[in-house]
Amino acid sequence: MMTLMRSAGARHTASQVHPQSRRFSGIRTQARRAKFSAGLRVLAFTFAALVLGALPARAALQIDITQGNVDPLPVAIPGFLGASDEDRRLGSDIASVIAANLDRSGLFRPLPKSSFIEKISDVNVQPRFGDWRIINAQALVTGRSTIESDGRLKVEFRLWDVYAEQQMTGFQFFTTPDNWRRVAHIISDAVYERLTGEEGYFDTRIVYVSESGPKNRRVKRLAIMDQDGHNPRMLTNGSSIVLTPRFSPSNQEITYLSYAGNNPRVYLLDLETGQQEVVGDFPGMTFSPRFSPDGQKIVMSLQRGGNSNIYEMDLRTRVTQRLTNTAAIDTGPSYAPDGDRIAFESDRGGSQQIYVMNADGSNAHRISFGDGRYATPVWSPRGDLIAFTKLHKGRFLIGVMRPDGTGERILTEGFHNEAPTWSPNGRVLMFFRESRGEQGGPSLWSVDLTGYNERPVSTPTFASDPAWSPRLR
Amino acid sequence: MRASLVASFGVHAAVIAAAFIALPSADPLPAVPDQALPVELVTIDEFTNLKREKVAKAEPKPQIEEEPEPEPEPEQAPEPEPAPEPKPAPQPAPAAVEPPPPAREPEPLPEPEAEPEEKKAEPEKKPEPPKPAPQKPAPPKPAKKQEAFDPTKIAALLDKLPEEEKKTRQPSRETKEDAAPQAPQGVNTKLTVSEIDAFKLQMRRCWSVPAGAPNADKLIVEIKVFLNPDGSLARAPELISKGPLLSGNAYYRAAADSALRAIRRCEPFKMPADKYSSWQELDLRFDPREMLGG
Repeated sequence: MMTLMRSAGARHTASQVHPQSRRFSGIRTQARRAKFSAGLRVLAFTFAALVLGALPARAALQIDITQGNVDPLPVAIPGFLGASDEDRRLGSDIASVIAANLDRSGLFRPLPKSSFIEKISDVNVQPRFGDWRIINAQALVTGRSTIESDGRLKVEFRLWDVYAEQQMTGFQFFTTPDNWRRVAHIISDAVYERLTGEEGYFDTRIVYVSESGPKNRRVKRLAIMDQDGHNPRMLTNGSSIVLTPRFSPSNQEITYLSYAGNNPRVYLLDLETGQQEVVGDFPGMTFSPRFSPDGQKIVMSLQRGGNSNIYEMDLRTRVTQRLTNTAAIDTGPSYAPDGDRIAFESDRGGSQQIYVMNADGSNAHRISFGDGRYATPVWSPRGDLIAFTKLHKGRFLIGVMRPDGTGERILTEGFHNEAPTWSPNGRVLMFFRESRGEQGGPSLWSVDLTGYNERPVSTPTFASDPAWSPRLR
Repeated sequence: MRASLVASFGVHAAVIAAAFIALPSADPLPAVPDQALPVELVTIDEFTNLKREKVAKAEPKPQIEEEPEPEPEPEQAPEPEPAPEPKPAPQPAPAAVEPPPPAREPEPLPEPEAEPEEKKAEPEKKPEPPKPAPQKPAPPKPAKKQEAFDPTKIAALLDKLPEEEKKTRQPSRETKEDAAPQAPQGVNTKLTVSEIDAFKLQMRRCWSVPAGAPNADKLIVEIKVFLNPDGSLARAPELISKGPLLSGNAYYRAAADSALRAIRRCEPFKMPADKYSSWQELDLRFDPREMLGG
């Protein structure tokens, strides 16, 4: 550093001396040179200043803290205040939903209400932080719910940093009282985002295939529910089998496979209007549809004869484009979030493996090289990972790898795990797990990227093929 | 001429610019893992012993009370002397493994003669380290230890005696992790590796690392901490690296908050009171890369 500075200084003097030694050249040249050298001087000074400025101050002892704990962050969420009994009941329910959401994320540990010392009585007054530090809370969520005279529900909340004794964030919402769950999810997202820096995923929904009836004659219907399993409802009547629903990353649309007329076809369903339509009119069977990141295109595989290839269709122009052209089975395409590349599975090399190609179909190359077969690649919305199902020694494993195929990690394994789907922030995977036996059936599970926070997702019936929605807006 | 001047300047500018861009932002080497702890624990004994010896002689500091036995002084003083010939080896390791004061006690501790010894010791300094290794079969890594610490220790011993020399000779290296082993030679206000590790351990319990953020290397938070002699915060910790905060980086904000919270949560810190001057102001660098798998 010092030598660099010195050399900058030397340059500077050289530039000063320079014009004098050229005394006899023409005036214009000299003037130009003078200007030039002035410019150089400024430059030299700038560099010297920059270099000096870059020298770190070395006054205090510097200590690197590289180790912390990854235990869930203790958070206190007392029931929200309210003026009436009704308000308080809602407030308590809202606090419970927030606590359940944060707990399920695995990153937070809501403290038991019985441990609270201070009883919050006014949401607009600073809490007694000492009381919350004693029970080790690092963050505190306070709030109030009020049913206004016009019948609307008003919910306010504040998130406090117990140690810095500051408010970290705070909002208020107006909604209809029956929408309180959604408000609780939105508050959960705000808390999650402020404390982790990451986008929340609580204000989302899951579409899945609800399965009922005996194992050999299952009725498979499309169903939707909140991310935490509440508010389930059916989207189709079960007259035809449905498979592989996929959410549009940008709006509330679903694409899925249905066996209407015993011919599998890709359908599109608008959740807001309930409108349903067939995608494209292909001579063969279409499978494994998935939206492009902007929601404007669908990529899928089309089977003809013994092989299948990947096609892309523009939903506005209805123009289809063929992306692969092999004698093998290419299927399960999934876009990278920037839309530049597509991951898919193919047996072109002899066994089922994951490949990545450019969005126009060029430069397809294999990325999975571990033992076993790899299927159903799903690109993370964050772009950094690809989730997959792996079949190895008769076990079904779900894992992730980087888009270049490195860093493979298995997150969960079992008799039958399948169909991973990402939370919109790319931190959690939901999938279904099949249990053995005559009474057995599929159920939904979630696991986060650490692999340690694995939890069942409760559904009223057997459930498979989950698809996570983007954040509701 | 001018072309060459321009070229010359251009290249220099490029070099400086490159240095400016590359050097300060170069990824710091991965921090030394805390596994070094056991090895360093060995030295603390020596260190405290040495310190005590010094106290006996110079004792500007009344409060070196790690092991306030009366005996200590006698024990250490001998160490340096035997070193030259008969028991050079035993010193380093034994000190760590078992506090073998008895062995040494018998020997006289001629503190006044320190200076002469020092001169003798110096020449032998080099030969010593090699010997110890072979002699001690017990500890698995004796060789390393001695390599690492013997020289410094000897230097420290030498230093003790002539005070003035010590000051001039004193290496002015940083007390960062690696340099810390030198602390013993210091005017003894520098924290030892063990003390720094003890501090890190406190922080480790308090710091809830914001899990799962991408680009952990961009989430390194630097905070200046001002402490009272009792280890409590003298004033609010200062966030040094505010840049990413201004640009509204939510990950960085969460990381900075978690670090600030950790400091407040840990306060008051348990620190060696006699070295207050070295820790009244600390630059803490919270680096989540290891935790988040980089």
